[in-house]
Amino acid sequence: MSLAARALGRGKGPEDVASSRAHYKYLAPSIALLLALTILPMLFTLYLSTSSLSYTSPRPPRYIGLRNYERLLDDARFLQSIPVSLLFIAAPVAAQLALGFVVAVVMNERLPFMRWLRYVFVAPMVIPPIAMGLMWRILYTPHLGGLNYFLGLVGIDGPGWLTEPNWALVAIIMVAVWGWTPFVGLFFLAVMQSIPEELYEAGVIDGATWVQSVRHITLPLLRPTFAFIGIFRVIESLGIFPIIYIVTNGGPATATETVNFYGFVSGFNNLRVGYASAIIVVFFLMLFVIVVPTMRFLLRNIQAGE
Amino acid sequence: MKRRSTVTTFFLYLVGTLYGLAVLFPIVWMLMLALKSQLDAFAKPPLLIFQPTLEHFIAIFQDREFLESIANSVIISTGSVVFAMVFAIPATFALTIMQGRVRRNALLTILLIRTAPGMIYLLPYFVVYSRLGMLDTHAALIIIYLIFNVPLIIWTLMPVWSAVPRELRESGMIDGASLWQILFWIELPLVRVGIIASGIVAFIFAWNEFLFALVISANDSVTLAVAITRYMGYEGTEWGKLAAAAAVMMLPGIIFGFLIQRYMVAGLTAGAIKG
Repeated sequence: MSLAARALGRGKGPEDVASSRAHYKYLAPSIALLLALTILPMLFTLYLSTSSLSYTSPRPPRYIGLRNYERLLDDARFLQSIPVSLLFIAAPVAAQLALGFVVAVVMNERLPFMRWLRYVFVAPMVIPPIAMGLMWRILYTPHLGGLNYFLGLVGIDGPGWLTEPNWALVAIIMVAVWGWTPFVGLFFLAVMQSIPEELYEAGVIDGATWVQSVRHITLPLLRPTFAFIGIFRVIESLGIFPIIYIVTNGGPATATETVNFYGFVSGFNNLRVGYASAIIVVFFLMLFVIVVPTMRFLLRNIQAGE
Repeated sequence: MKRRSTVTTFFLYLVGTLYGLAVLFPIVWMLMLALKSQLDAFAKPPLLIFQPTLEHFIAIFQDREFLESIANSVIISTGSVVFAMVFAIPATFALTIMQGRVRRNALLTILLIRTAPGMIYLLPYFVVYSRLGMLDTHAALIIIYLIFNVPLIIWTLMPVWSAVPRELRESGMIDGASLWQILFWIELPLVRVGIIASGIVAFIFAWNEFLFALVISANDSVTLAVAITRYMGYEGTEWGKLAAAAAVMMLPGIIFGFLIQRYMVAGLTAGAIKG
């Protein structure tokens, strides 16, 4: 039902709180505040992206139309940051969902002596991303021992995590998976615990094995959750800026720079605000293109579930 | 109950234990580094057993800049939570009255705003603040953090508030109480725990935030998250101090995180299950 149809269609008994719209004014300040603090800056970014504003240039900023965007097309560093961004969205989110599901299944079994897992999982949710990055930077740094030493113990010759471009990409992905899988896991677990026990009992009567009941009962019931948490993680996934900043600082060279990271570098290291704004606008469009179809898929899924 | 073979049970234990250890390992490794002397830190092979020292913790707590950054983080985080509450509490109240599609769309919009990468908003704030002379002030960050903390509080508080029985509200209406009176005198006392929990979640967010702090705060208002990175100086990284500082920074989150663990996931889950 649309907003209007709903407002017109509902009864207006004096005791029906929801039918009066008096409570809207309690929500309005928050919505107004949030829109003002987000939409206005976005519009301003759009405006800045058509200007030549640069804090290193002695000339006053002027309107230059789409010139910043044209320059982006020839900027190899920018073009390279697009596939990096897509990789940093797809790989961690896929791994977080898969691993998160597995650990949720483990936790949902309520095994004796495994309650500690739930407490351990809270840690990455509250640890500052900057500290997460630091932990892994320490592990990746050869002379501080850590990862490569332990890999050596099992006979693996660890790569130069921070010096080889492809391994640096893997290094960042590993931090993102480490940092956000527990949240996904606890989320799945919360939903799993709402599945009625009778469903599993019925499964047992039909002779389902444990694997079958996970495969045919738990998994299908969690499909909307996969969609919900997936979209949530996709939008949030490029917020790993602090991780990149600390672990690789975009390097080696520019190998681990995402679009937003390059936007940051252009804006605050090179102080080319106009150009950086154009990058941010493209970044926003990119998110939009990824998120909207997924979002529609999600809403369809939820509605189908009702 | 599901039927589980011994082999399955064994694998469940194996996967759970391995994954739990994998989560713990980086944390423990960093804490060990914070307690190692400079010499032990670079030992080869890495030392698992060593004489712990508090020298790095003592050093950072004698560092004036570090102490000031803690004060700044406390001021900014607390400020942003208090102001966010002023907006979020009435909003959550209104959302518990609303139903169906309108409510869901409002909640999803709020969630999207909270989830969007800060980079989208960063540049304009920098430009505007520098024109207003507000760069490097506490207020600058407090305002920005409202973008994230108002939604965060609404989403965390929502499930707690939804559990308050409707009848209380309706009997209040019959007795002629206004919405404000119902909000303040009837329902607010009942959701105290939720307010505290959501306040903690928001505090942790502001405490942990890095990107805006890096750009907006420099000296007078520099936050802990940014101050820490200064130990990665040009004259080589001071790993011990860095690890110790990160450990200090993690502390409030870890302590409070355990206390409010269930509220952190509950907010989002309620949204996912019930819409």
